[in-house]
Amino acid sequence: MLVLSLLDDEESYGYELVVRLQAAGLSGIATGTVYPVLTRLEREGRLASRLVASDAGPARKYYRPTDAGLQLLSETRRAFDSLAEVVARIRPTSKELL
Amino acid sequence: MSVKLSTADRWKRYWYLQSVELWLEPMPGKRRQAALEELKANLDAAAGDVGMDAAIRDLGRPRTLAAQYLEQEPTRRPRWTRGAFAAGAVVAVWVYATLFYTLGMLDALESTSRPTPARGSFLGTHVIATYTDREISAAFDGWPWAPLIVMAVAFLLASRAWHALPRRSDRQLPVTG
Repeated sequence: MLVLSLLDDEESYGYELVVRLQAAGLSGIATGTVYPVLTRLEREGRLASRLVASDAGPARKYYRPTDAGLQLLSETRRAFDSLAEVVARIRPTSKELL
Repeated sequence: MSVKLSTADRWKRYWYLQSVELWLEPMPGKRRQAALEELKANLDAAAGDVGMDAAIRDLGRPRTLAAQYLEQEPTRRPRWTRGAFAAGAVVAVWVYATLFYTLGMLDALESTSRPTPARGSFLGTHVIATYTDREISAAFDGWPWAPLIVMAVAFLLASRAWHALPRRSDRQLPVTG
Protein backbone atom coordinates (compact mmCIF):
# COMPACT_ATOMS: atom_id res chain seq x y z
CA MET A 1 0.00 0.00 0.00
CA LEU A 2 2.84 2.39 0.92
CA VAL A 3 4.67 1.69 -2.34
CA LEU A 4 1.57 2.26 -4.46
CA SER A 5 0.61 5.31 -2.43
CA LEU A 6 4.01 7.03 -2.85
CA LEU A 7 4.16 6.15 -6.55
CA ASP A 8 0.66 7.56 -6.98
CA ASP A 9 1.94 10.85 -5.56
CA GLU A 10 4.96 10.88 -7.83
CA GLU A 11 6.66 8.33 -10.08
CA SER A 12 10.02 7.09 -8.83
CA TYR A 13 12.77 4.60 -9.58
CA GLY A 14 13.68 1.90 -7.05
CA TYR A 15 16.33 3.60 -4.97
CA GLU A 16 14.48 6.92 -4.97
CA LEU A 17 11.40 5.15 -3.66
CA VAL A 18 13.45 3.57 -0.85
CA VAL A 19 14.74 7.02 0.11
CA ARG A 20 11.17 8.38 0.09
CA LEU A 21 9.99 5.50 2.31
CA GLN A 22 12.85 6.17 4.72
CA ALA A 23 12.11 9.89 4.74
CA ALA A 24 8.47 9.10 5.50
CA GLY A 25 9.51 7.29 8.69
CA LEU A 26 10.44 3.77 7.64
CA SER A 27 14.07 4.41 8.46
CA GLY A 28 14.87 0.74 8.98
CA ILE A 29 13.56 -0.49 5.65
CA ALA A 30 16.15 -2.45 3.66
CA THR A 31 16.54 -1.62 -0.02
CA GLY A 32 16.53 -5.32 -0.82
CA THR A 33 12.94 -5.71 0.35
CA VAL A 34 11.52 -3.00 -1.92
CA TYR A 35 12.93 -3.97 -5.34
CA PRO A 36 11.35 -7.48 -5.48
CA VAL A 37 7.98 -5.93 -4.59
CA LEU A 38 8.27 -3.52 -7.52
CA THR A 39 9.12 -6.42 -9.85
CA ARG A 40 6.07 -8.37 -8.66
CA LEU A 41 3.67 -5.42 -8.90
CA GLU A 42 4.86 -4.74 -12.43
CA ARG A 43 4.49 -8.40 -13.43
CA GLU A 44 0.95 -8.36 -12.02
CA GLY A 45 0.11 -5.28 -14.07
CA ARG A 46 -0.28 -3.02 -11.01
CA LEU A 47 2.67 -0.83 -12.03
CA ALA A 48 3.81 0.52 -15.37
CA SER A 49 7.39 1.56 -15.96
CA ARG A 50 9.51 3.63 -18.31
CA LEU A 51 13.28 3.80 -18.67
CA VAL A 52 14.88 7.20 -18.22
CA ALA A 53 18.53 7.75 -19.19
CA SER A 54 20.78 8.71 -16.30
CA ASP A 55 24.14 10.46 -16.41
CA ALA A 56 25.12 8.48 -13.28
CA GLY A 57 25.06 5.09 -14.99
CA PRO A 58 22.50 2.70 -16.48
CA ALA A 59 19.00 3.93 -17.35
CA ARG A 60 16.66 4.12 -14.38
CA LYS A 61 13.27 2.44 -14.36
CA TYR A 62 10.55 4.81 -13.18
CA TYR A 63 7.30 3.29 -11.90
CA ARG A 64 3.78 4.61 -11.65
CA PRO A 65 0.55 2.77 -10.73
CA THR A 66 -1.74 1.49 -13.49
CA ASP A 67 -5.54 1.52 -13.17
CA ALA A 68 -5.33 -1.96 -11.63
CA GLY A 69 -2.71 -0.64 -9.20
CA LEU A 70 -4.89 2.31 -8.21
CA GLN A 71 -7.81 -0.02 -7.67
CA LEU A 72 -5.67 -2.24 -5.44
CA LEU A 73 -4.49 0.87 -3.56
CA SER A 74 -8.08 1.98 -3.03
CA GLU A 75 -9.13 -1.48 -1.75
CA THR A 76 -6.09 -1.74 0.53
CA ARG A 77 -6.71 1.75 1.94
CA ARG A 78 -10.33 0.87 2.70
CA ALA A 79 -9.26 -2.38 4.43
CA PHE A 80 -6.57 -0.56 6.40
CA ASP A 81 -8.92 2.26 7.46
CA SER A 82 -11.48 -0.29 8.58
CA LEU A 83 -8.86 -2.15 10.63
CA ALA A 84 -7.56 1.12 12.13
CA GLU A 85 -11.13 2.01 13.15
CA VAL A 86 -11.58 -1.32 14.94
CA VAL A 87 -8.21 -0.98 16.68
CA ALA A 88 -9.07 2.56 17.79
CA ARG A 89 -12.44 1.34 19.20
CA ILE A 90 -11.07 -1.52 21.28
CA ARG A 91 -7.66 -0.10 22.18
CA PRO A 92 -7.42 0.59 25.92
CA THR A 93 -7.18 4.27 26.71
CA SER A 94 -4.21 5.62 28.67
CA LYS A 95 -6.49 5.98 31.74
CA GLU A 96 -7.40 2.29 31.58
CA LEU A 97 -3.73 1.37 31.36
CA LEU A 98 -3.05 3.28 34.60
CA MET B 1 23.62 12.31 -8.08
CA SER B 2 26.20 11.88 -10.83
CA VAL B 3 29.15 9.87 -9.60
CA LYS B 4 31.92 8.21 -11.55
CA LEU B 5 32.54 4.78 -10.05
CA SER B 6 36.08 3.67 -9.30
CA THR B 7 37.40 0.42 -10.76
CA ALA B 8 37.18 -1.18 -7.30
CA ASP B 9 33.51 -0.19 -6.98
CA ARG B 10 32.73 -1.53 -10.46
CA TRP B 11 34.42 -4.80 -9.49
CA LYS B 12 32.43 -5.07 -6.24
CA ARG B 13 29.21 -4.32 -8.11
CA TYR B 14 30.06 -6.91 -10.79
CA TRP B 15 30.72 -9.66 -8.24
CA TYR B 16 27.62 -8.85 -6.24
CA LEU B 17 25.38 -8.96 -9.33
CA GLN B 18 27.05 -12.17 -10.55
CA SER B 19 26.28 -13.80 -7.20
CA VAL B 20 22.67 -12.62 -7.29
CA GLU B 21 22.32 -13.93 -10.85
CA LEU B 22 23.56 -17.36 -9.81
CA TRP B 23 20.83 -17.62 -7.15
CA LEU B 24 18.21 -16.10 -9.44
CA GLU B 25 18.44 -18.95 -11.94
CA PRO B 26 14.84 -20.15 -11.43
CA MET B 27 13.53 -16.76 -12.60
CA PRO B 28 12.67 -16.61 -16.33
CA GLY B 29 15.59 -15.20 -18.37
CA LYS B 30 14.08 -11.92 -19.59
CA ARG B 31 12.70 -10.92 -16.20
CA ARG B 32 15.97 -11.96 -14.51
CA GLN B 33 18.02 -9.76 -16.84
CA ALA B 34 15.61 -6.86 -16.34
CA ALA B 35 15.81 -7.25 -12.55
CA LEU B 36 19.63 -7.34 -12.66
CA GLU B 37 19.79 -4.25 -14.90
CA GLU B 38 17.50 -2.44 -12.50
CA LEU B 39 19.57 -3.54 -9.51
CA LYS B 40 22.66 -2.21 -11.25
CA ALA B 41 21.05 1.19 -11.82
CA ASN B 42 19.79 1.32 -8.23
CA LEU B 43 23.20 0.30 -6.86
CA ASP B 44 24.82 3.12 -8.81
CA ALA B 45 22.26 5.59 -7.50
CA ALA B 46 22.73 4.37 -3.92
CA ALA B 47 26.52 4.42 -4.28
CA GLY B 48 26.28 8.10 -5.18
CA ASP B 49 24.59 8.70 -1.80
CA VAL B 50 26.25 6.31 0.63
CA GLY B 51 29.14 4.65 -1.26
CA MET B 52 29.26 1.26 -2.96
CA ASP B 53 30.10 -0.73 0.19
CA ALA B 54 27.07 0.59 2.07
CA ALA B 55 24.85 0.26 -1.02
CA ILE B 56 25.74 -3.41 -1.34
CA ARG B 57 25.40 -3.96 2.42
CA ASP B 58 21.89 -2.44 2.36
CA LEU B 59 20.82 -4.92 -0.32
CA GLY B 60 21.80 -7.84 1.93
CA ARG B 61 23.39 -11.14 1.01
CA PRO B 62 22.98 -12.09 -2.67
CA ARG B 63 21.26 -15.35 -1.75
CA THR B 64 18.77 -13.59 0.53
CA LEU B 65 17.99 -10.92 -2.06
CA ALA B 66 17.51 -13.56 -4.76
CA ALA B 67 15.22 -15.52 -2.42
CA GLN B 68 13.09 -12.38 -1.93
CA TYR B 69 12.73 -12.07 -5.71
CA LEU B 70 11.90 -15.77 -6.08
CA GLU B 71 9.27 -15.60 -3.31
CA GLN B 72 7.36 -13.16 -5.52
CA GLU B 73 7.44 -15.53 -8.51
CA PRO B 74 4.12 -17.13 -9.51
CA THR B 75 5.59 -20.56 -10.31
CA ARG B 76 8.44 -22.63 -9.02
CA ARG B 77 11.15 -23.63 -11.48
CA PRO B 78 14.04 -26.10 -11.25
CA ARG B 79 17.61 -24.87 -10.71
CA TRP B 80 19.39 -26.76 -13.48
CA THR B 81 22.75 -25.03 -12.98
CA ARG B 82 22.90 -26.12 -9.36
CA GLY B 83 22.03 -29.65 -10.46
CA ALA B 84 24.85 -29.59 -13.00
CA PHE B 85 27.31 -28.38 -10.33
CA ALA B 86 26.25 -31.20 -7.97
CA ALA B 87 26.54 -33.83 -10.73
CA GLY B 88 29.94 -32.39 -11.67
CA ALA B 89 31.08 -32.66 -8.05
CA VAL B 90 30.08 -36.34 -7.96
CA VAL B 91 31.99 -36.98 -11.20
CA ALA B 92 35.06 -35.18 -9.81
CA VAL B 93 35.01 -37.26 -6.61
CA TRP B 94 34.53 -40.46 -8.61
CA VAL B 95 37.41 -39.67 -11.01
CA TYR B 96 39.67 -38.75 -8.09
CA ALA B 97 38.77 -41.94 -6.17
CA THR B 98 39.30 -44.15 -9.26
CA LEU B 99 42.66 -42.52 -9.89
CA PHE B 100 43.64 -43.06 -6.26
CA TYR B 101 42.57 -46.72 -6.47
CA THR B 102 44.61 -47.22 -9.67
CA LEU B 103 47.69 -45.59 -8.18
CA GLY B 104 47.28 -47.90 -5.18
CA MET B 105 47.21 -50.92 -7.52
CA LEU B 106 50.34 -49.76 -9.33
CA ASP B 107 52.08 -49.10 -6.03
CA ALA B 108 51.20 -52.60 -4.81
CA LEU B 109 52.51 -54.11 -8.06
CA GLU B 110 55.76 -52.22 -7.67
CA SER B 111 56.30 -53.25 -4.05
CA THR B 112 55.34 -56.95 -4.45
CA SER B 113 56.95 -57.51 -7.88
CA ARG B 114 53.95 -59.63 -8.86
CA PRO B 115 53.51 -60.60 -12.53
CA THR B 116 51.39 -58.01 -14.37
CA PRO B 117 48.86 -57.04 -15.58
CA ALA B 118 46.72 -57.02 -12.43
CA ARG B 119 42.94 -56.71 -12.60
CA GLY B 120 40.68 -54.96 -10.16
CA SER B 121 37.22 -53.43 -9.94
CA PHE B 122 36.24 -50.12 -8.38
CA LEU B 123 32.59 -48.99 -8.21
CA GLY B 124 31.78 -50.91 -11.41
CA THR B 125 34.87 -49.84 -13.35
CA HIS B 126 37.29 -52.64 -14.26
CA VAL B 127 40.89 -51.54 -13.89
CA ILE B 128 43.77 -53.32 -15.61
CA ALA B 129 47.10 -52.13 -14.20
CA THR B 130 50.47 -52.93 -15.74
CA TYR B 131 53.78 -52.29 -14.02
CA THR B 132 56.99 -53.58 -15.66
CA ASP B 133 60.45 -52.21 -16.23
CA ARG B 134 59.33 -50.97 -19.64
CA GLU B 135 55.69 -50.01 -19.05
CA ILE B 136 53.52 -48.39 -16.42
CA SER B 137 49.92 -48.16 -17.56
CA ALA B 138 46.26 -48.54 -16.57
CA ALA B 139 43.25 -49.38 -18.70
CA PHE B 140 39.60 -48.93 -17.71
CA ASP B 141 36.58 -50.88 -18.84
CA GLY B 142 32.89 -51.35 -17.93
CA TRP B 143 30.00 -49.07 -16.92
CA PRO B 144 30.28 -47.44 -13.52
CA TRP B 145 26.59 -47.79 -12.65
CA ALA B 146 26.86 -46.81 -9.00
CA PRO B 147 28.53 -43.44 -9.65
CA LEU B 148 26.14 -42.77 -12.55
CA ILE B 149 23.13 -43.40 -10.30
CA VAL B 150 24.60 -41.21 -7.53
CA MET B 151 25.29 -38.50 -10.14
CA ALA B 152 21.70 -38.65 -11.42
CA VAL B 153 20.28 -38.50 -7.88
CA ALA B 154 22.56 -35.55 -7.00
CA PHE B 155 21.45 -33.75 -10.16
CA LEU B 156 17.73 -34.31 -9.47
CA LEU B 157 17.95 -33.32 -5.78
CA ALA B 158 20.19 -30.26 -6.22
CA SER B 159 18.20 -28.95 -9.18
CA ARG B 160 14.87 -29.64 -7.43
CA ALA B 161 13.76 -31.23 -10.67
CA TRP B 162 10.28 -31.92 -9.27
CA HIS B 163 9.58 -28.19 -9.59
CA ALA B 164 9.24 -28.84 -13.34
CA LEU B 165 6.09 -30.88 -12.60
CA PRO B 166 2.76 -29.07 -12.39
CA ARG B 167 1.67 -28.43 -8.83
CA ARG B 168 -1.41 -30.20 -7.51
CA SER B 169 -3.09 -26.82 -7.02
CA ASP B 170 -2.40 -26.01 -10.69
CA ARG B 171 -4.23 -29.10 -11.93
CA GLN B 172 -7.81 -28.54 -13.00
CA LEU B 173 -10.43 -30.03 -10.74
CA PRO B 174 -12.91 -32.42 -12.42
CA VAL B 175 -16.27 -30.86 -13.17
CA THR B 176 -19.04 -32.66 -11.31
CA GLY B 177 -22.81 -32.49 -11.20
